[in-house]
Amino acid sequence: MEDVVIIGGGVTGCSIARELSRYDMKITLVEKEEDVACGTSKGNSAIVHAGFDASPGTWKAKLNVAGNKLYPALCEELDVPFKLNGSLVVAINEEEEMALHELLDRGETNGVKGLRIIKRDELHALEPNLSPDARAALDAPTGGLVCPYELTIALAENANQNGVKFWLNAPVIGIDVQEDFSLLVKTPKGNIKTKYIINAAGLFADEVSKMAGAEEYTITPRKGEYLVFDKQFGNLAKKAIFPTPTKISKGILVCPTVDGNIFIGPNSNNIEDKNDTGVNAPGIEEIIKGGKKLVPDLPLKNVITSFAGLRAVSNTNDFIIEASKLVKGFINVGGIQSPGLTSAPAIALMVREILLEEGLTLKEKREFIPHRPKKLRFRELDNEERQKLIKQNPAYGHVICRCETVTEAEIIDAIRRPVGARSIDAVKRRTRAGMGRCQGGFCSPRVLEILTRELGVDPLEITKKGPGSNLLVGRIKEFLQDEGGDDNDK
Amino acid sequence: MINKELVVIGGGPAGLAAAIEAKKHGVKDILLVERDSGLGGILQQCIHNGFGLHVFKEELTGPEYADRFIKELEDMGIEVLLDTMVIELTKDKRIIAVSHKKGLMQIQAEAVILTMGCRERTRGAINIPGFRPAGIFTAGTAQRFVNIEGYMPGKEIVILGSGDIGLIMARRFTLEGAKVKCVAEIMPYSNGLTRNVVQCLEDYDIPLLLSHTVVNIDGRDRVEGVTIAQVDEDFKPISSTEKYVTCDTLLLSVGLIPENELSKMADIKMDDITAGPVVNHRMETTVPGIFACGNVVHVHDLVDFVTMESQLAGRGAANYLKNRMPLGKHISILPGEGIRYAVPQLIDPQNIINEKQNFFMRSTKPMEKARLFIESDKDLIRTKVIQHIKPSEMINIELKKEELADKDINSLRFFLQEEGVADGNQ
Amino acid sequence: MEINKTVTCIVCPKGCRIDVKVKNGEIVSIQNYDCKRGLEYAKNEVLDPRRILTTTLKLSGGRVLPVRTKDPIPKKLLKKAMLELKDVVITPPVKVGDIVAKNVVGTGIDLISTGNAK
Repeated sequence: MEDVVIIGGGVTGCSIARELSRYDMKITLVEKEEDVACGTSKGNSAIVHAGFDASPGTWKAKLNVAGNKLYPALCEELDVPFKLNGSLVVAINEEEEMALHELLDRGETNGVKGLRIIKRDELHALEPNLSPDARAALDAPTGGLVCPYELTIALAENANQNGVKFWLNAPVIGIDVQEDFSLLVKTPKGNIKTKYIINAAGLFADEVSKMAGAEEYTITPRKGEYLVFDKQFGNLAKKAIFPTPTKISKGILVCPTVDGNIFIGPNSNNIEDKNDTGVNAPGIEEIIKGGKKLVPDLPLKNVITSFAGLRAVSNTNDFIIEASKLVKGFINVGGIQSPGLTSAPAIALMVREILLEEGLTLKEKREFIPHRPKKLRFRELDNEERQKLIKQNPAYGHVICRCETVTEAEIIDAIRRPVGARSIDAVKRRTRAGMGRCQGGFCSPRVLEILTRELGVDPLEITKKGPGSNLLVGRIKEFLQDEGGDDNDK
Repeated sequence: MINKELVVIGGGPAGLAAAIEAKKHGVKDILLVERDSGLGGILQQCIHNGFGLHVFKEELTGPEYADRFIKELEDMGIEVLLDTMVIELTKDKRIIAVSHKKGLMQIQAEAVILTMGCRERTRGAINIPGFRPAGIFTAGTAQRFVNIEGYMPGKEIVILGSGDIGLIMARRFTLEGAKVKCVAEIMPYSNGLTRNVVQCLEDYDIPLLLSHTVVNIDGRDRVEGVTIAQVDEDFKPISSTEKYVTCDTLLLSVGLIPENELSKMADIKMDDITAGPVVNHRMETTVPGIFACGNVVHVHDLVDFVTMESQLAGRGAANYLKNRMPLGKHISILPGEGIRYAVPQLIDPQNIINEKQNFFMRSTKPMEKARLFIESDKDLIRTKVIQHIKPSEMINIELKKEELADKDINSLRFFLQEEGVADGNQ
Repeated sequence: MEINKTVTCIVCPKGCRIDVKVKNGEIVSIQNYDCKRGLEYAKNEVLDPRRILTTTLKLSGGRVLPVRTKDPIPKKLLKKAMLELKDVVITPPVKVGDIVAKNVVGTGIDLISTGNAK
């Protein structure tokens, strides 16, 4: 019997898994997709928010500010790139400038440090590409950037090193309360008996809660679409540039990523289908329009990709983090929309407290490993280090992804690491191979070959992103059929 | 630090021809660096015929065309490093390259020829809405899977864009027993060579839908279908014309982009239209001693022209190495009305190689018949009537040295004026 | 019986649509051509259209080998030729120009390697 089963391998579930892996107990994380970070954690703005946005007193506000403070140390410990570049909320008219003062007050009430309003000259000196209409901005120096899937994967890897088991491709299809009051989590891969369940199922948290007979709430998917620009325009914005927010959304921003790209987005549209991560033409137009309000000269010819993410919005419009009153041992961690990424480390600590309250005894492990296995990024090394590395392992001398300079050794490592990559997209998220300007055109056949070799499978079995997404459909000449006659003339 | 007289970056058709020609013109110490495990570049996956009609006066396949140059290069004893990727280039011609065999190498070259070729435009570059399932490939990637790896990336295929690789792959897939449902082209004319439209589409009754585009991709894990719509004059889809086509694969053949990351590192001036370096009469970039040729300069439609241009670059590099005298005054080549770009962008008329200069250019639109005007800032040099102009088929004009030299000209301008179509013989 | 065929000429970029009338296997008229080469092309396209077949064959112990017919074969036999080559496996070494299959679909035309494999 497990002590804890965590449902959902997003940044929330993996943060909790990693936090609980400090203690001596049996933990399994179940995830319906083929990899962690496949849902909301993969499609968001990748910003570690300062915390001025949420209403004072909400869980969102408290956990945002608390999470923000935990980030630098966490990323250091897990070797995850984190950049404290700061955020700006830009006002383009008098009304918006007034609103900045409200935001400043709200932020200070929430406990955000260093907030100040800057005027036109200072603003344009900071961000020369801003619209000439920009007249003032709220400067939040504690806003930062992180790669959300890199963080989620790092948390998963480290949790796995510390004993957390990961069941991937394992959607939860039922939850039963047993006679001994233990819980049974059912998946197509088998059932797991456990004392506690943590429901971190993101967009599907409401369905999982219902499945267990716990409190009912609703999660509405709210879509946000994004466009990503080539790295050569990485200087377009230094900070995360927000418009003055509206009631429902922080608005469409122009923002750098920790990897040096620029993105614009997201818009914000409630939809019905929790799997609908399609990008729509009107959505693209909307974000271009929004982005141009802040930075009029967008390099639209140099878009390298578009994507959409779904926010998991609860009917309370706040995070739902509490032990069920109806099902003992069942803990909901639902409605984790923005600022969920920022809050995740603080949510993990909060869940630990709830588990203690619910009677779980926590004994710290002596052998806890705080760091994940060292991850080498060839493109970030200097030439002397590169030279040394290739001598140790010649596969570092074989560049597979030329846009992002990713070597064969890094791809092999991504496959062999804890919770290793099993698909082209999983390799991409771990190494950035295929994430550059050619979007895998050059490297995907090579990555497929390495996956085939490392996993000892047929190339036909390699998928883009799990079951059903195979890249290849057959060998050559396999589809040739004798159609009778000898005439293919018209 | 390794010292080399000439380093050629890239072992495709451009690099091969440039290295061979430089050697023929007296450059002794040449190193060719290739990132793949063999020479020939993209020609190795272009197994179809149609190469070499200009250079060899015979019709070869891509690998055969490459093989002739590879043999010549080997016979000449030109040093080649395979599986070696250049990751840095400075304007002082210092190169950093890595390979699993030799580790990290620092090379100081006296001259460099850039022949990195081009890459394909992707879905992101043209912003097709919809999901992100498996089954969306650029035509060249699909070509590699089929022709090099021996695997089929799809069975029911829709092709977006009528670029030549897409057309070639339509035939290739059909002959392999897959079903190509249609080729959608957003322009009102094909972007491929007529020959390919006929022999790759018409031969197999594959519909070419002009003024059409893909407006949505359906399928979450694997492509299940695409929505195709006709577009208006502003290339906006007309919603009433939307049609759903089931398929498991969407192939993109929507253009090629010169791959100039290294050129930019070396502070070489780029041409916004070609997306390649600005070059002069001997294919030298704005950084003296760094040359460029082939698809890294501008995207060609025929490899034969890549070869010719690269031979010029090889000879140019040899000239540079022999005689470091600075060149004379350069004049600008300006694309005028009807001309999208012209290469080279600069020439030194006094130092033209071989007493003649070829100019490659592309028109802005198809024209039945037009007069090409070549004029300097002083006077009209020549005009020439050209029939059946298409943006996809490069215009190649040769000017003699005496037409350009001995005149104190500052610039040269090419422009096209459409003329009434002459009566046919019908 | 009279059949009308339209041939798109590929001799030059103009791409003339040449109309050919055929009666009992013989050409009775050709219209809308612009030059002599176009006329010749249209004749051949109607009476005996031929193409070079290019494809790949499986190599034992590895990838594939690019090949082509040495000369053009009748267009209508392309698919049949592909079927005939379906299960052919080539054993290296083989080099450019080597004959890898003789007399493709009875045309008397051989298949040659266009690549090298060691």
